[in-house]
Amino acid sequence: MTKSRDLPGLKSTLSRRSVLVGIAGALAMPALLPSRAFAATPGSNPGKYKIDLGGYTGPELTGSPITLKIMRQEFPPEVNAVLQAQYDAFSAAYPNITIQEERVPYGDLPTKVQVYVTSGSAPDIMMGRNDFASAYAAGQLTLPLQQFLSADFIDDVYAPLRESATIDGNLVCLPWETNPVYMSFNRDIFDKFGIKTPPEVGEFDGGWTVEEYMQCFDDVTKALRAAGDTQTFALAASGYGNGGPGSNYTQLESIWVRMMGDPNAAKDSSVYNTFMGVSEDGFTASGYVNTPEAAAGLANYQAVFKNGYTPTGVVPDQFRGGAAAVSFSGTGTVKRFLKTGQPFNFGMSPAPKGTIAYTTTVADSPTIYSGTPYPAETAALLAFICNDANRFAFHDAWGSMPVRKTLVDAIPEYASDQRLLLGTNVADHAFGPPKSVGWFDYFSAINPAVKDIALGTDPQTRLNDVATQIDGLLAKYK
Amino acid sequence: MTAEVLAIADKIVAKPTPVTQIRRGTVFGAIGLLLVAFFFAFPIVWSALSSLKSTEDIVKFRYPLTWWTFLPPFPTLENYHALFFQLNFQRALLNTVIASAGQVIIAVVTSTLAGYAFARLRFPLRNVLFGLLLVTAFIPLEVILVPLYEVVKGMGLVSTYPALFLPFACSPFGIYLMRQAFQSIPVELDDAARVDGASTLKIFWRIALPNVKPALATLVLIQFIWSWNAYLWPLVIIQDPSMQIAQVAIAGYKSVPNFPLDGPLFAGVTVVTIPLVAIAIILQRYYVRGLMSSGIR
Repeated sequence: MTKSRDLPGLKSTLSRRSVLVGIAGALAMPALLPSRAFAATPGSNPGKYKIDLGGYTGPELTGSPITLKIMRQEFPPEVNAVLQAQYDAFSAAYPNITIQEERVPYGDLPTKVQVYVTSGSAPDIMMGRNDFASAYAAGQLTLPLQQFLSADFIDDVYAPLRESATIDGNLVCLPWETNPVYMSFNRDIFDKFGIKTPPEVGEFDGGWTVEEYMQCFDDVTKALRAAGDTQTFALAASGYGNGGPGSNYTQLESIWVRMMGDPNAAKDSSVYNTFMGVSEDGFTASGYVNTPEAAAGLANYQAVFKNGYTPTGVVPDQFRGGAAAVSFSGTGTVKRFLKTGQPFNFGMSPAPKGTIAYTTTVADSPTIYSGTPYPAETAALLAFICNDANRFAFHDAWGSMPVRKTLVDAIPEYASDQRLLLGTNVADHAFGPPKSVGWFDYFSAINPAVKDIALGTDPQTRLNDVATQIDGLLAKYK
Repeated sequence: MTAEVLAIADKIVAKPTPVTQIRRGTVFGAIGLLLVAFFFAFPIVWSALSSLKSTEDIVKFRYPLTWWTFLPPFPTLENYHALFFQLNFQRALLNTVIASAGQVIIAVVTSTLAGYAFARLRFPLRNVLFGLLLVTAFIPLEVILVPLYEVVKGMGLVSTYPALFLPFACSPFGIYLMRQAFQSIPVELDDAARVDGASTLKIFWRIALPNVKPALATLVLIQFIWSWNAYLWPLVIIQDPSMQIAQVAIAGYKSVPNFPLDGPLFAGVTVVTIPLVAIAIILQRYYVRGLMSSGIR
């Protein structure tokens, strides 16, 4: 699939398995973004290069004329302008390096990556996501980044994201923005009915249990209906993925399941397996996704639909439109309200707790194509875009949460505003999705199953079915 | 007497006149057509009305459903201003126009020539070649996407206008449509022209082509709709943002969760719908005749 270029640490032979995982990885690329004081980018080398190349530690860049290609998702014009300015600054320092950018609708990135990778010629930098790191690594789609980036720079990334992007010691993609999942609530609705709001704390594990949330949903629903309001719901329809039930297991519905597990329990115990979601080798879902604890978690999920706490269909922007009391969301919602004006009084609280305090974190994460003819220059460009100054400019324009701690620490509002402070703690303690080379297959199979359960199918039976299905899908990667 | 009158009256009531029958049929037919038209037109009209709302109003009144979900409470043209003065949509629109025009012109030329050849000229393996041609119509673009990309890339045409329409220069459906249309013309016309000394090209140009105008109009309409609505191929083959077409640009407006561009998105949808509706209205009378004359129903 990819041309052999004798890259360090990469095999040059291609097997059926590597082709399959390569395609899986290609499909998986995003399936699915004041004032401050800051020092130099952690792990950077001031003075070593012509400009601040962030954590780049590789050789000085070539003097020959070359062109580097970047493919990323489309952003609004003001964000596009920020990135263009960064390319211009890079090319000003290295006039021999031309940068060509390709912008793609977010949902179409996998299609383009698949075509590029299959044809053996892809952009040097492609936008990916940390939850598909296993597929990138197994398909040898991306270059290990630690060979070009300093350890301090990499260590600055929030641990859950860094670990989920690292496979067998190789950093296969570089997380650059995130939106950790926790709860937002409409205080006006709670106040109207005199119902206690979820706790507004900064600690990721200081929130309500799932039972307390279910009671809250019940109280709010009864109060709304008693007042004759049949249009507002206690819990907003999912805004992740395609929306509604079974929308995006990676970011949302897995919370209901994996909160019932425990990573500190005895290995091979049911509760441990529930947390893991897949076997250690990443090829078996049976016994992991269909445990009694997982079924109990999805029974809770089913109850929010069955009891009318949330709509059974897709309702875009339901929370923002003021038609829901509580919503799974994150720092993106806070920043959006702060920037565009909040339509009501809102607060933020941790996600529901089960056996453990569990929530997810996923990050858009650029990758360097393993077939790039210019690995050092490409890594330098990526590191430049990710240096402190450029990341601040991006986050100012886009409003997403940075993935590096020193960046977040330098933005005062993340320390002073509980709604954002909670986001930083969630980012520091959230969990990445189960690691499997076939995560895209897993993800594609389980979303419909979750939707079926939401709409009334028996959780245990459906989970057993989908576990068998996923086993079959993952077997092809063995 | 009274009984007779009543019997006559009963007959009149029981047996409606043909006029009454026609009227009832017309009324029910009209109601049915109106319902169908409503279901087809509703999303288009809703999009157009939503384009006159601010993004905030679109979100605010999206749910629960009220009249303001459909009607703009405070009509504004700000979305169109953003579309053309901030998002540079006119460039994407121009790209789409050029790509569509290119595809329509080339496909019409190749389809009429090939259709005429298959309908009128005698040459070895004619039917086999025609059958093979038709087979290609059943191969989805997704299947040949990568090889097609390789070929176009090999020709050095990535991110160019020809890359958008050259791969579709030969339309199996268009050739089939025109072949059927040419076949509906009496062969005697050709024979008479040939007796008068007309060449094959002259017969094609002066005799055959003028007789298939409805089919030509149908071909133009169908090719225009296909090329105007193309998405997957332009998405793949265009890498330079300045060359991207309108449909892909609009899809990009969906990708901005923190700062949604719902208003410009609806404005863009409305703008790209206008040419389709206009050309469909202009060519509709030819469209039916064209399909009828070609035997495609």
